[in-house]
Amino acid sequence: MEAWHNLTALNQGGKLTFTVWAEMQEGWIQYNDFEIYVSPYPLTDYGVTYRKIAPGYETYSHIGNYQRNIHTWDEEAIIESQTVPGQCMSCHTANRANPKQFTFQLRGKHGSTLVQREVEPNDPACNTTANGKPTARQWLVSKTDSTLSKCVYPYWHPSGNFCAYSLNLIHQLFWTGKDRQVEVFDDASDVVVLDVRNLEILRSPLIEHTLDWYETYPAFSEDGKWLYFCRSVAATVPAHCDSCQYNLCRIAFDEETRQFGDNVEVVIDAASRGKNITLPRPSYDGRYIMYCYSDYGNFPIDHKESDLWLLDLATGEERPATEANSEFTESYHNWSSDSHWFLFSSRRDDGLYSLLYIASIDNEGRISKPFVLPQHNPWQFYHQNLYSFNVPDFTSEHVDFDVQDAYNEVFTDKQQKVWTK
Amino acid sequence: MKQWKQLDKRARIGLIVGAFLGITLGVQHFIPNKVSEKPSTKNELEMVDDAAWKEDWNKVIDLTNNCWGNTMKAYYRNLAFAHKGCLADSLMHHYAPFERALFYPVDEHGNSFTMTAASEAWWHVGDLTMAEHATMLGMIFTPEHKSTRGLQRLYQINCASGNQQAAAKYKRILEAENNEVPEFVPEKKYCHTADTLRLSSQYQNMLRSLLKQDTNNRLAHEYLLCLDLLLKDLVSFQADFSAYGLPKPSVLFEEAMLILMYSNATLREPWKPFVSENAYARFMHFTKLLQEGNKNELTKQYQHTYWYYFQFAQRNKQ
Repeated sequence: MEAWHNLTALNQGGKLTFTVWAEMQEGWIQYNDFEIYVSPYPLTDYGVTYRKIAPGYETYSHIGNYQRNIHTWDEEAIIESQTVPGQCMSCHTANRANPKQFTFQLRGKHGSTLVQREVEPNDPACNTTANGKPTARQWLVSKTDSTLSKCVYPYWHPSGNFCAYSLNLIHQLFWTGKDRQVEVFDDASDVVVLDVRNLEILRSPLIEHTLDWYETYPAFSEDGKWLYFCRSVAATVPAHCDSCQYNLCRIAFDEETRQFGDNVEVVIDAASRGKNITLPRPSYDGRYIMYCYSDYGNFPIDHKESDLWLLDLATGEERPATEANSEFTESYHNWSSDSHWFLFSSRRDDGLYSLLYIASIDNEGRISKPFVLPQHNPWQFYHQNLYSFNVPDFTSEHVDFDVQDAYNEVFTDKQQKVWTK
Repeated sequence: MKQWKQLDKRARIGLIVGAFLGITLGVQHFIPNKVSEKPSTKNELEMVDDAAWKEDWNKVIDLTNNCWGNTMKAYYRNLAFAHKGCLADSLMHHYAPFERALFYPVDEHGNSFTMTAASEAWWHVGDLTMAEHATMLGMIFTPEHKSTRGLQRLYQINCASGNQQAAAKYKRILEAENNEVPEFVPEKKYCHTADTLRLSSQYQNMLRSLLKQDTNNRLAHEYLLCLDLLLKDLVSFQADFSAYGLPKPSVLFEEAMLILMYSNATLREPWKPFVSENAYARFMHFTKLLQEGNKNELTKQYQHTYWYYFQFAQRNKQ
């Protein structure tokens, strides 16, 4: 491993040429040379996080959130279902790949929304340490009497003081044909913002309790002044689930006053083209928004036609990330800390299981050929693998999460309630 | 009596049927009809499941002779009889726990064994997506999600559906663990061609979808009509019979048709060829005994009829 790192460091921005010989029955043969291009942008983040889950639809057995050091072969669990029996977990989300603030959902009898964040030592919420730093770990009851549901899909504000969540009433049905398996759709959905300092849910009537619209997948802009989200006209579901075509929208957000703007702007009107946008992910350098582009619906992983697209915020140009896309679904993407790399889930391998792919993007917007998350023996690992990797993200440093304490807290129901005016 | 003798045969039957249906409400609980689930040993069920996996249907039938009160055994017994072309003929002769006699639910209340078993009926009637769904669900409770049985079935399913990449993946895994994997060539086209959304519990709709695609799918045909009757859904039975006919004549279908014919006069002529004189006579006798409250004779003579099931079968409270 070290030799490989040295070799790529020496050839940063260049290429390595490989010559392969094989000894066959008839003697030695030489294959055509091939090249590996070394990115000029070193991937300096510690690693990636993901959830590994076997396709189960209605139930699960062994699932977990994991972190993988991408400079070695080391994978370790952040939390696994065996450590919190009877609970499901999902949506591990750090703040711009920085695990000093992260959140995930725990579902089940002791379900709650975890928010863990680094705080000042004298912060009243401080109750643990992570990476040696004072940390607040809170298990939140995120459903209130006046909000639609528990918090679902999260996205942090760059300040770390807020986290946007969608609220979703989610259902799933199954297709009878052979090309599609599952259709996940919302009966209703809204977007809110949680002030993690005092656990207040901040709301706006423009993005919540709007009977004519479904709002979901919030994402703050790089400077935190805009809250992007996806919005569709409400439809009769499931009969007309293919009418749910989401546009990319945004509403202003003022972190000082904790107020939303007065109107919702439509950034990309995908519905007018008969298309659909989900999972907006602004790059952390403010240059792009990457999103999933599909025919309809809010669960692109189950849509074979889903591709990654880029919106250039400087020019307004939209284009498919053709270099990264395949004939199978691409979805659930996130950026590295320096925004020169991104990762995403793809089913290009066999059409069934989602694997984690990584690609880079240069200053001119050119995307490199994606490669699957390296393994020590990739042929054996991936050909034997029956898990899907989903909700992938980069992590700039090791995620420090005390599972033992978490177990005690979860099963003694040490929860706090969010509140709203 | 004189007035009775003055009535023609049809009028008499009409009166009797009317009385039969009228009595129905009053005697729902006349005879105890709830059966407590009788557990089997794990080994017994595994033997049945193994025989079904190997499609040794005679052995399945032998092993499930005493299936009374055991849903899993009844499920496999019916699958075996369906393969031998006599599901309808045998359905009322053993334990019939409503829809679970034919389909096991694929949901969060199941376990690895029931989910794996659930995929069998779907595979054999030809619903590849449900078979795959159930197989994957059953497999997730096995170590590292690598049940040999599950992988073999997934390999077959993906061969049949044409997903060669997925089939190759499963075959590779099996061969890597020293399993011989013969090439699988599906005998017939299995997949749904219509692509609609459904809940995993909408059994009737899924069977109709299969039949629309291939009216020669005998198993799906027999399963559909038997399921209608197990659910006491005579309206659907009438519609499905009108759409697809009968897979083959059976006393079960005769008995169900009789109930419908005389509550719906418009059915009497068109359905007359499907019902024998003997069935008419027995039906009259059944209703006479019911009216008399002759519990012992009803059970002794008619406990294996659809009329008895329709009248008295009740779901256990779950």
